[in-house]
Amino acid sequence: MSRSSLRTPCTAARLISTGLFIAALTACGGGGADGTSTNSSSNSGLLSLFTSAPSDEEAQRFLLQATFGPTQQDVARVKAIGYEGWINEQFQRPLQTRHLAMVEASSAALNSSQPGVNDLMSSWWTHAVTDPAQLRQRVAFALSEIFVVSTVDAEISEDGRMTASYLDMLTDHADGNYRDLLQAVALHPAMGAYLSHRGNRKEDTATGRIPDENFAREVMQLFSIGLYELNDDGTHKLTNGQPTETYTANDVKGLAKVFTGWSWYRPASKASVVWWRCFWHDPLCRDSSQNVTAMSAYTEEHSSSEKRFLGVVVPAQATPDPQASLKAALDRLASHPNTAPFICKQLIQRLVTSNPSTGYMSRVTAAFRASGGNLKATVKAILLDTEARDMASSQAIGYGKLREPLLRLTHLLRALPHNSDAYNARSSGTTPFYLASSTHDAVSELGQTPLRAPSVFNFFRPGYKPPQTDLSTQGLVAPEMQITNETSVLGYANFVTQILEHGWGCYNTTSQRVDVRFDLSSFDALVAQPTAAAPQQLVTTLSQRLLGGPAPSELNDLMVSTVGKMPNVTAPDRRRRVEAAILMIAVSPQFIIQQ
Amino acid sequence: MSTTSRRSFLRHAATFSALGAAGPLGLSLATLGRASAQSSTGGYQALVCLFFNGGNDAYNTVLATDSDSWGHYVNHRDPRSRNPSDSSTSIALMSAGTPVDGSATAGTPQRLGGVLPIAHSGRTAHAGRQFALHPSLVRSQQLYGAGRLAVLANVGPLISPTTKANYSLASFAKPSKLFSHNDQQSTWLSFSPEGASEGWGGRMGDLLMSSNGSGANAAVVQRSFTCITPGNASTWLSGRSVYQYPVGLASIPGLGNSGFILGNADLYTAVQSVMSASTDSNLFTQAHQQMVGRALQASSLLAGALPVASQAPWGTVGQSPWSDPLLKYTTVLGTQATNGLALQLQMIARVMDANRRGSFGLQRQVFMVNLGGFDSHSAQNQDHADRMLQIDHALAYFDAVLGAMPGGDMRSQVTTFTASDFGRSFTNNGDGTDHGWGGHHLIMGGAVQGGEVYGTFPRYSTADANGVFSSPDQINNGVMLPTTSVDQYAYTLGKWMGVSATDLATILPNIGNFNSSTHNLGFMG
Repeated sequence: MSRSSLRTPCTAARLISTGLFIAALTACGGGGADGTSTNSSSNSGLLSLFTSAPSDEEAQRFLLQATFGPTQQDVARVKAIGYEGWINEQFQRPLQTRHLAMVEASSAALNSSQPGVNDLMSSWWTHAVTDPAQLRQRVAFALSEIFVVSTVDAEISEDGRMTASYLDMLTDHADGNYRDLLQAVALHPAMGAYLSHRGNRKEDTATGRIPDENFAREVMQLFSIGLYELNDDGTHKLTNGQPTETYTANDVKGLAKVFTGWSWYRPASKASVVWWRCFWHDPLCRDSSQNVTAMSAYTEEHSSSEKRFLGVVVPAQATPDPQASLKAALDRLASHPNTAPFICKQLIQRLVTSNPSTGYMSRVTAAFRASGGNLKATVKAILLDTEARDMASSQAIGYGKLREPLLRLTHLLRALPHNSDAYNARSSGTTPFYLASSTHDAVSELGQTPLRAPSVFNFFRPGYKPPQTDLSTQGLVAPEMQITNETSVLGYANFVTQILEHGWGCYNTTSQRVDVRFDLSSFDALVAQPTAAAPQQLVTTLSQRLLGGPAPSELNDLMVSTVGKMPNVTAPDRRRRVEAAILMIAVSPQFIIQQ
Repeated sequence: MSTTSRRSFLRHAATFSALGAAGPLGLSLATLGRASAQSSTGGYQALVCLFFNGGNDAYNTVLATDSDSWGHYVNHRDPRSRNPSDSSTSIALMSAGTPVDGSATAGTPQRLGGVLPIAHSGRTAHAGRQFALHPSLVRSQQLYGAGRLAVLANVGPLISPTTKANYSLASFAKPSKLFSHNDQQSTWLSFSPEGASEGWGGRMGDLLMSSNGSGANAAVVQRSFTCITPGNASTWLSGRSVYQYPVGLASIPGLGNSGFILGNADLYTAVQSVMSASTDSNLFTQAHQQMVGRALQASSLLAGALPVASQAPWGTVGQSPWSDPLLKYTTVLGTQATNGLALQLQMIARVMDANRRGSFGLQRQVFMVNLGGFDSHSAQNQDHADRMLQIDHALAYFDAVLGAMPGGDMRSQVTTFTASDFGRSFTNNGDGTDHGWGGHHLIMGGAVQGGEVYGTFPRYSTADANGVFSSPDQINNGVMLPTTSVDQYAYTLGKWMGVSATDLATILPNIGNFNSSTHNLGFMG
C-alpha cells in the first residue's frame, strides 16, 4: 500500500502543534444542550409509537440518519429528550461557525492569497465532525447533493469563498422554505458560475444569438420538478402505460429567457459605474463581495419578450423586469405538483432509505405541502415516520441504504478520539479548523471529496440500479452504489487501515505527520491484560461505540477470535489489536449499510 | 499489417524521431524492429470507447469548410459577422490557412489559427463539401491522412430514420428525453434513459466472453476481465454475464499488503471474510459483498500480471504516471499537464499486456475511458480547445503505444471510437453553445478504413427571423438531426469484433428499423 496519498503537504509550518493535546474533539459535538423538549404527540399520530425513551440501539440508528455519525453524547441526549425534542433542539442551535469565516481563517493561517479548494475541504470536514448543529449540517449536506455545485469547475475552485458561502446559504435554509431556498440557489454566484446563467444575455434575433439554456433546463430536471409527472407517493403518473414528461424543449427556451440579465452583484459603491462594466465584471466594477453575494438584476440584458413555460405566460414587458420574471418562474416551479414528491424522495434517500414505500412518500409529501414547503417540517416527517423509526421494518431485505464513503469517515472521526494539530493550535478568539486533504482517489482513499461531484448530476443518481444484483432485479435503486466498485471497496478498506495507523489530512513537512490522527489510548486498558476475556471486552466496547450495541454474533465471534490471535506483547502489538477491531467494524456490512 | 499502413506507420514514426533521440513516444530502433516483424498476438481484438462527458460541440470538432457551409457557420457562431457592434464572443474558428496570431488571448480562434483540412473521397452525399478538423487536432489530422482515423458524421440516438417533418410530429417515435445529459448518455450507451442496467459494450462482452480464458481462472477472466474501465463506471460495460471491472487509473489495488493487514495474516483473512461472507440477507449487504468477492478474485489475478507503468512503450523509466512526460499534454495556456485521458489509455495498454504476461487467453475485450468538461455553455473557446488538445494528444499517444506493444504491433487489433451525450447547438448563446442531438465522431485504429468522412454530413443553413432553420438536417437552435443511428455505429463496430448479425439484432433494439444495407457503415471495411 502506498503512503504517498498521505503526503498532501501543508504550506504553513507554523501550524505545527505546540504539543498541546486536547481531549477528543467529539467532546465539542455533544451534550450541554439547552434546548427545550417538546411533547412529541403534537405533530402526528405516527409519533405515538415512539413516546417511550429510545434504547441505545434506536438512538444510534436515528443518529445515523440525522447526523454525520453518532457520538456517545449524542446517544445520551436523544435518549434523554426523545427524537422530536432532539430535532427541535438541533434546529434551535446557533451555528458554531460559518464556512465563509472558516475558509478565510484557514487561508490566512496558511498565508495563501485567497481561500481555495483545500480550505473548503478543511471547512467541510471541520463542520461535519465538530459542529454541534449536526442535523442542520447534515440536511445542508443532503441539499448540497441535490442543488449541486462542484469544485471541478475551474472558476469555482479558484475562490474557496464562493462554495463556502454557497454551503452557508444551504445551511441557513436547511429549516426554511423550499421556495426561498430555490431563489437563493438560483441567484447564488456559485450557481451562476456553475450553470452559466451569470452574465446570460437576452436573445438577439439580428445575430441569431439565443439565451443560455443551461440553468433553465437543470433547475427543472434536477432542482424542482424532475422529468416525469409524479404522484404524491413518488410513482409515475402514467398515460397509456407510459410516464408523462413534465416539460419540452420549448419550456426550456421560455424559461431560459427568465434567467437573462442576471450577473455579478453590483455593490452600492459601484452605483455610478456604467451597468455593463458590472455585468461583464470589468476591472472597474470588481469587489470582493461579488463571489459571495447574490447576483444582481440588469434590466438592460433581460429579455423583454413573452416567456412561456410550464403553462405560465409572462407577458412581454415594456420595461424589462427580471424580478417579475423570476418570481413567476420560481413560484411556478415551487408550486408545481411534482416538486413536493421530487424533493421529498431525494431527502428521504439522503437521510434514511433508498427505496421509501409509497406510504412513507405520501406522508412526507403531505408534510411538505401542509407546511408550504418548509424543510424543517419535512425533515421532521422524514425522521419521525414509522418507516424511519420502526426497528422491525428496517429488517426488510430491501430496506436501508449504502452509506456514502464521506459519511463513513465522518462517523469514525466523530465516534473515535483524535487530534488535529491545526485545530489544537488555534489561538483564542480564532476559528479552529482541521487541515483536511482530498479523499478523491478510489484506489487509496474514499473515491469522494466533498463538494466535488463530477457534474451537476451529483456523485450518484437517485435512480441508479446496480447491474446484476438482486436489488435491480427487484426494481430497487441504490444511488450510492454508483460510486462503489471493485476498486473502491478495497481502496476503502486500505484507506481505513492507513488512517488508523497514520492519520489523515494534509501532511506537515516540518512535523512530518498528517494533521488528523486518531488517539486510541483510551482503549489501551482493554488490551493491556493478557486474559482470555480481553479480546471480547475490546470488541464489546468498540461495537458499542461504533455500532450502538453488540455486533451480530457472526461478526463478534470473528473479531474476537482474530484479535485473540494477534500478538499482545509490546505496546505497538496491543495498539494494533485496537486498530484491527476498529477496522473490522468499519468494513463490516453493519457499518457500511445503514438499515 | 498492410503495406499501406506499414508505410504510414514508418512515416509516422519518422515524424516523431525527428523530434528527439527516441521521439516523444519512446519509439526506438528496437520497437521499429518489432513493428516490422508484425504482430503475432493472434486473433485478439478490442474496442475502446472514448466517452466525452457533457456533450461535445461537434460543429467545432469537424467542420464543413465549403463556402456555403462556412457562411452559415460564421453567421451563427460569430455574432459580429452580422452586427459588428455586438459584444458577444465569437465562437467561430478561423478558416483553413489562417496563421496563428501569437499575440491573441490563449484559446481564442485567432490564437488557434485556421482549421485543419481533411480530404474525403467525394461520395455523392458529400459532393461539393469540404471538411476540416479543429485547429488543435494536429496529430489527429496526421492519423487521418495516414489512414488510421475516420470521421463518422452526424450520429445520434434514433428509433428509426427520422426526417425533420417526422421530428415535429408528437406521434413519431423518438428517443426519450432528448437534450438531457444523463438520459442521452444512457441512451447512447444502453438505448434507454437513465436507470438502464446493461449497455451494448457489456452485451457484446456477454456474446464474446466464451472465447476468453480457459482453465481454473476462466470464470474470473470471462466475467471480470472482458469489460474493463480505468475511468468512471458506466452502464455501457455492464452485461448480463460480464461485470464491468473499474480498475484504478494507475494501479490495481489489492486488499492489504500481500496477504497481510497491519502486518498480520489472520487479520487479512478476517477482513476478507467480514467484507464478503456475511449471511445477512439485506440486499444492499448482499450487493456490496458480492462486489467485494469479485474484487478480491479479480484484483489478485490481474494485479499480479500488470506490467509497471514506468517502461516503454506506455511510460518512461523512472517516472510515475503523474510525472511522466509521455502522459503530459500542452494545455491551451501553453503549460504542461498530465492528460487524464492518456493516463486511462496507458492503463488499458498495460491491461492488454497483462493478458500476454499472465497468459489469460483473452481474445476479445471491451474498454471504456471518459473525459469530462464538454458542456460548453460558456467560455467555450478556451475550454473546448483544451479538450481538443487532450484528445489529440491521447489519440496520438495510444496509436504510438499500440504500435510498439511488447508482444508486437496491436494497432490493427484495437479500434478506438468516440461517443458523447450529444452534439451542441449551431447557435451561439453569447460565449458558448447549448444541448444538441447529433454529433460527429472519430474512429481510430489499424483496422479502420481511415481518411474518409462516413455517414452524411449535415447541410447548414441560417435561421430566419423566427429562429427557423431551413436545412433538413437542422432543428431548433440549429441542432443536428442525426442521419446515422447509434445502432448502426454499434453494429459496424460489433461486426468487426466478430458478433454475428443475428446476435447484434438482439442487443441493438432499433437496428431492424433501418434498411439492412445501411447497417454496416463501412468504416471498418
